[in-house]
Order: sequence, then C-alpha cells, then structure tokens
Amino acid sequence: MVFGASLAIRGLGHAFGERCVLDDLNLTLEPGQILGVVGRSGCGKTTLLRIIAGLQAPLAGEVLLDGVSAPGIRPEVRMVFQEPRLFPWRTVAANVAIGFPPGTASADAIAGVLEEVGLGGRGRDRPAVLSGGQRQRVSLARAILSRPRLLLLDEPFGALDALTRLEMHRLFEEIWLRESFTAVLVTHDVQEAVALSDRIVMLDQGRVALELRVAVPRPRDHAHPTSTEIVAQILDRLVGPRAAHPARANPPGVTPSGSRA
Amino acid sequence: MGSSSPRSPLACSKRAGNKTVWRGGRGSGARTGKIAWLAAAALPAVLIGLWWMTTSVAHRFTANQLPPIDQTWAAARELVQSGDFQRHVLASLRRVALGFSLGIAAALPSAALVGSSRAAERILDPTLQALRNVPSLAWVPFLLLWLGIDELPKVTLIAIGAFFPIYVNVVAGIKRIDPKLVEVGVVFGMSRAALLFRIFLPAAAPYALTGLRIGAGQAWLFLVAAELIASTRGLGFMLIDGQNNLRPDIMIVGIVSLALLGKLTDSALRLLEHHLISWAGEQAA
Repeated sequence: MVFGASLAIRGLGHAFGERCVLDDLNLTLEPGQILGVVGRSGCGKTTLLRIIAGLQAPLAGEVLLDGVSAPGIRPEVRMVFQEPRLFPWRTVAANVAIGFPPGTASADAIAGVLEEVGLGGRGRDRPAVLSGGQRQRVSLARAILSRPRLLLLDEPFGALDALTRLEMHRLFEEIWLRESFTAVLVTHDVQEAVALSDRIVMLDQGRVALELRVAVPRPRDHAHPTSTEIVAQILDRLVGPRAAHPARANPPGVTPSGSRA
Repeated sequence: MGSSSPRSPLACSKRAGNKTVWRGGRGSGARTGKIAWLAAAALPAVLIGLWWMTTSVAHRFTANQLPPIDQTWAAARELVQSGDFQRHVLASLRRVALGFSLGIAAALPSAALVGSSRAAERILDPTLQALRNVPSLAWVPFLLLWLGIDELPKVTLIAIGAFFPIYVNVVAGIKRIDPKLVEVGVVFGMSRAALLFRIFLPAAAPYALTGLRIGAGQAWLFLVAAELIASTRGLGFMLIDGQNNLRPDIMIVGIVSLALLGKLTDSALRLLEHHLISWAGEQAA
C-alpha cells in the first residue's frame, strides 16, 4: 500500500471569459507517482493545478482523490508555489508550521523537516536573511510538514539559478522517495519535468497533446541518455523540429546528403 | 552636497572620482548621532534667538504681544513651584492616555471588520469616511449635551480624534496585503478567523503603527478642544486661562509643553515600531 493518494481528473473544463483554458481534460495518476505537466504559457497548466488544489472551482468535470470527488481545500493536499511566499514577520520555523493552529505543531517535527530540506538549525531565522534557494526550501518544508498525500508544485524551481535548481531537483527526489506522496509538477522546464516525473503530459489548448512515461531508474542522473531522448521528443513537439537552414544544409563545396531536407 | 558653491550633479560625480566619495545611504556611529542631534536642535535655537532679538534686544513686540524669554521662564518656574504645572500635565496625560486607548480599542475591530468583509465595508466605510472630516470643535456642544461636563466627554472627543487615523491606516494595510500570501493561508487550510489574525492583522501592523503615530498626534490636538469643555485642569485649560487673564507667557509655556509632549509620545511610538516590526524594513518574498 503506497502512502500517496490516487488522482483522477474527469472531463475537466474551464474558461476565463471567452477564452477556454481546459477542454474536457482527462487524467489519472497512480498513488505515489509524479506527474509532470508541461506546455506553453497559457496552455492551462496553472489553472489545472489551482483546480486540483481547490483554489478554483472548475466550470465542468471533477477531481477525484482516491476515487472520491474532492472539491475545495483538502487537508491531505499541499502546494508549493513559484515564489516561496513566506510570511516576513514569522521565523522560519513559524513559517513551516503555518498549516497548524498556533502552538500545535511539534517542534521536533518542524526541526525534522527543516533538517530534511537542509536547513537544520535555521528555524529561528527570519526569511529575509535567507537566499532565494533557501527560501524555497522553507516553502518545501512547509508543504511536507503535515505529510500530505498529494503535493502540487507550480513552477517550484523556476525562479532559481540553474545550479540551485539542480540541487533542488535532487533534494525533491530524495524527499519524495522517503515520503512517497503523489505529486503533480507544473513546469516550463522540460528537462526538469523529465528529471523528476514518472509520467509527463504536454497540454495544448486545454487538452493532453502528448503523454509519455519516463522509465529512468531512480535516483536519477540528470544526464541519463533516455532522459535526453525524452526531452528532445517533447521539445520537438513544443517548438517543432529545427528546420534545416539552406545555407547550413548546403555548405559550399560539400555534397548535400539530402537526409534532412 | 559639497560645502562650497552649488554644483550640478554631473560636476559632483566627476569630483567623486578623486576626492568626494558618496558613501551611500545614511552614515552610522556616534558621530552621526551627535550631528543629528545638533541638526535637530539648530532650528529651535534659531527661533529662540529670534525671540530674544525681537523682544529683549530690538523691543519690536510689547510684553502683551510676545513676552520676553526671562518673563516666560519666570512664569514657567512659578507654575512648577506652585505645582499647577504638574497638575495640568498629569490631567492632560491621563485624558490623552484614556482617549487614545479608547480610540485604539474602537479602531482596530472596526478596521478588521471593514478590511475583511466586503459587506461591512459597503455599510460602514462611507459613513466613517464622512465623519472623519468633521472638525473636532463641532462635536463639543453635543458631547456636552450627551455626556455631561465631566471627564467622559473630554476622553470621548480625544478618542474620536485618535480613532480615524488608526482606522484608515489599518484598513489600508489590510487592503494592500499581497493576495499571494492570503492564498498560502487558504491552501494550508486556515479559517476566516485564522486568516484575519494570522495573516491580515500582522501584515497590516506597519500601517497600524503609522496609524497609531498619527492617532497619538491627533489625540494631543483634540485634547485642547476637549479641555475647552468646562475644565479646571489640563494644558488646554492652562492655554485658555492664560488667554483670559492676558498672560501670554503662560500660553507660551503651554504651547511648548504640548509640542514637547507630542514629540515625546511620537518618539516612544517610533521606538515601539522599531522593535515590533523590524521585519518590515527587511525585504522578503
């Protein structure tokens, strides 16, 4: 029995005014899996996540957690946002405990998750003294303190520099291996999606345009050949294969091979 | 800028290359503290100098128009020696403290209600914004009729004065909170009450303290109006008494005392602000 919740999305539809952002979307996610959601800006990724989180009610369709319709905010669902969104007047530890009524979160548990995200001993600091990467670690610790069964991540590492992002990927995978929650990761970064997900869906105009399984063993190496292949495959669909440039395809003095024409 | 003739910013930045270096921001340390004190004391010193010149040296004013410094000083000493001054100050302090507290006690819940409920805002805010513009003296006759001539109307008037700046600022603080932070509270399952007490009010604290500072200033301003109401004590009474008895020296003692007490109150609140919301100066996302 896996700890994570199973997630099913049935006939989800949503629109902002005239603009349709989700169109009869269907998805299922096995317990304990990580689903990567990629796509161009405005393809409906974030709206999908906000609907799963219960922050927004869909115009059509429903979200099922463990086979049960789950509208609204659910205690077993937690979210990590693109910005850390920490409360500047609270200490790091108090920020981590935000989901609990004051004084009810165990100090040991808070110290434990801070240790887990590599911020052991920083509980009494204010968010202002932390770096961007450290703040995002706090926001991750905040999300996992209540041991959620479904974790939603909205571009969680998008604002970090490349090196910090790689560190965070490794950290997130470690935490996921330990906690075995189900996760939905929305990201612009195809490499990130491939590095972390078990399955990837590419959204286009509110529908699933491409669905792939990422069969790379864990813990993952960020330059696994299968990963590189999947990244290329998705990018080809997203931006189209690179058209052969005439000048490059036929360099002077070289016989054209014709294979890429 | 430089101590010599006025320079254009360009000339100044050219000079920065070799001699004058812009140190950026405020300096620190004991020396800067001393300079700040000297700078702050400069204008009062000039005013006192002018006072002395126009009265004791040039005799531009009669003693009825502007009493000389020594006469005023004598009046102050007399007031202190007789104990009248202390009595007036204590009475005023007590009224301001009570009225200010009452104003806070009324303003915080009203602001929390208006800031967190759309319906409450639509019902309460227009009226409160209109009442805010009523001058303090306009309330006096009615407060006398309704609340008698004792301490209650005075304290109430001061509370009215303190109420509005606190109310307006806390509402503004709640309105200006980052909706993304509120969303965190919602996703993490906070109730409406928890959102109010754990997110909205702390986020509005810097605004609230600005409101408190303005409110305290208003409380001292309304005090004088309040002490027009059949009073026998207080700095406001001292002013009016001085006026009625043609004692401009006593009036000056009153004015200076009010200014100093107002400034002291503000400094105390600034200190509180510094301790309570040190986080507001730090930037965090």
